Amino acid sequence: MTPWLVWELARKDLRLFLADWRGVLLCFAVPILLASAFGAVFHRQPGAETYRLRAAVVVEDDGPLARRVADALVASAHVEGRVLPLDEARAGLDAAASGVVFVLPQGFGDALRKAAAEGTAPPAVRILHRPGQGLEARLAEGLLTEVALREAARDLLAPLGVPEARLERPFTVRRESLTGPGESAIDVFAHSFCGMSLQYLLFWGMDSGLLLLRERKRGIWKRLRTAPVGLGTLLAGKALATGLVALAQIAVTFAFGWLVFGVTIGSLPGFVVLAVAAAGLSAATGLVVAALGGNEGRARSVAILTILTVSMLGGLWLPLFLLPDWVQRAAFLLPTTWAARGLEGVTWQGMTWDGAWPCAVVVLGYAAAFLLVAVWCFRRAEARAAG
Amino acid sequence: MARRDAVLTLDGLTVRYGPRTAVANLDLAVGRGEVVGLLGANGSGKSTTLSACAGLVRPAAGAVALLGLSPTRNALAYRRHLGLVPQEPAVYEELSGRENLAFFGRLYGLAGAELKRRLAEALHFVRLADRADDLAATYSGGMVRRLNLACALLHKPALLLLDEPTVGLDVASREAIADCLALLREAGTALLYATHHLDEAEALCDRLVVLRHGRLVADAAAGRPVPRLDRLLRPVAAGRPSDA
Repeated sequence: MTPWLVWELARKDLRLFLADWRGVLLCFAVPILLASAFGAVFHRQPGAETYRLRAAVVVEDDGPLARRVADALVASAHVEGRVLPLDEARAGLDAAASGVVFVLPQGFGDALRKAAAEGTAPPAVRILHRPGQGLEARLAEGLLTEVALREAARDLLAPLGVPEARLERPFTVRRESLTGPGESAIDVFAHSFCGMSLQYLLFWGMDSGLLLLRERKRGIWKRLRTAPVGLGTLLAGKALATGLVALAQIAVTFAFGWLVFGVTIGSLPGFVVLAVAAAGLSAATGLVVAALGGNEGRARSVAILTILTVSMLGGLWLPLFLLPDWVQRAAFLLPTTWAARGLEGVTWQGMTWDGAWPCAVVVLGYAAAFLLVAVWCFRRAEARAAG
Repeated sequence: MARRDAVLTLDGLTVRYGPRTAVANLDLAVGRGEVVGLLGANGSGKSTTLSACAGLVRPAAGAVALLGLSPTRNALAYRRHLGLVPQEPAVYEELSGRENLAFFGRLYGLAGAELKRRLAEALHFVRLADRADDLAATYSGGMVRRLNLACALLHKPALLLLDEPTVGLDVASREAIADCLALLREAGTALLYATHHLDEAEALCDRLVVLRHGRLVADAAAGRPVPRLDRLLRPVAAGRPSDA
């Protein structure tokens, strides 16, 4: 392989890319728009009210303890709700006006007091929730536990003269994210810029591959294949051009993220090595699309489906920890997971060079494997054409 | 012409696509400054023969040699002596004529003052010097074909393969290309010219080779009568097996 020939081929592709300035504009604007839109949708202002559970409380018990538990639930800072009759509460649940309904049954107060004091059978509280809102139901269970235990303890300890204040939580909690003190569990804009950049890099690779596929169907490929240039050199030139544009995309996207949304880069060397690895993955994806795609329409459909799937499962849309356990385990087989893990790590999760380079090596490994598959397929196709 | 003096030799060339034989046992030699017209109806094996000469198709049997070089064993050296003018224009419309030529010239190792000189020569040769810096997308059909030809000439190949380079062109554009080819012949370039236009082949070529069902059915000097030529140039019946 001759390096200057690789560069000549890449330079030609870059000139073809730059010849369509509208295409260039879109190529750089789309990842920025996607990342900004994703970030804006999921962003909450720092210090803004956190999630509050929309709930209704049904009190079937007339006793004072049940009433106090219901009032305390409704008054909780974590709950947005009110006390309602059962039929109204169920109607509200059906209409999605509330996410859960606490049903405190007849005899709840007495049973709670006796269970707390004597260890008898506890009362059975029903928590109704909409399908698919199991997480809200678990949060509701935790809130009820805290409120019911406090009110029961107050009943039991008041005769002993224990002051009210002693019944509050006897400790304080300070939540800290990995990158420093604060409420935020995730930097939404940084996550969006990492995820959408990576996804778009794959789409850019696909576009580049489709262009090569189109070229192969035209006489221009015959002319290139009759020039004194090896197949490896031709493919390397294509990959270099794709990779250089991908690198420029990452640079422009993150510069915009930094200027407009304050997306910062913690480890610059780590970021650079991951950007190079991601650009390599983009280039290799293009060659695989060109090598495996039988025709342009079929290649485009299959590539879009594959890219969207690996983007979603790799945590480019939503953070991986929000996905089911089996997806999180399976995701480590995907290059997108490692690329996202590294890029998010070096931008907002405090990852250093030591954490970044192994991620980059895995991504580059996938890129190398894709390249090998592509070259093998190209050679096989030429051998078949050659009888 | 003695085969040992030939620029291009085909010895028993046979090309198969799966069970179908596209070219069968073809012997041919093209000498320096000789223009050989490869005639035949669609599907007769002309393009496959050119592809084999270009090294794009590997023969199932027989051999191809260009100046004694094999397209498989000496691939890069072989290609340095070869120019290909595909049937469909093989240029980048997004680049100017000069940029197209410069790109293909660099692939053949041309650079600096030598590349500039060859560019100027090629542009003058195909009469595109005044439009050299315009995008190829703005060229007429005839101009694109001439640029297509120039891209194959820049490195001064010993053999030029032309696959119906005048298809779809008006008379003036065809004559312009014919003039260029006549000059190339004078300069000593060997030309293998595939076409199914008999009049064009007779005007341009020194020798006519007729293929039918992948087989050589006539090989005669241009202007000499070829028996049953009209019948030989009739379209090949679809689905007829060409293997013998």
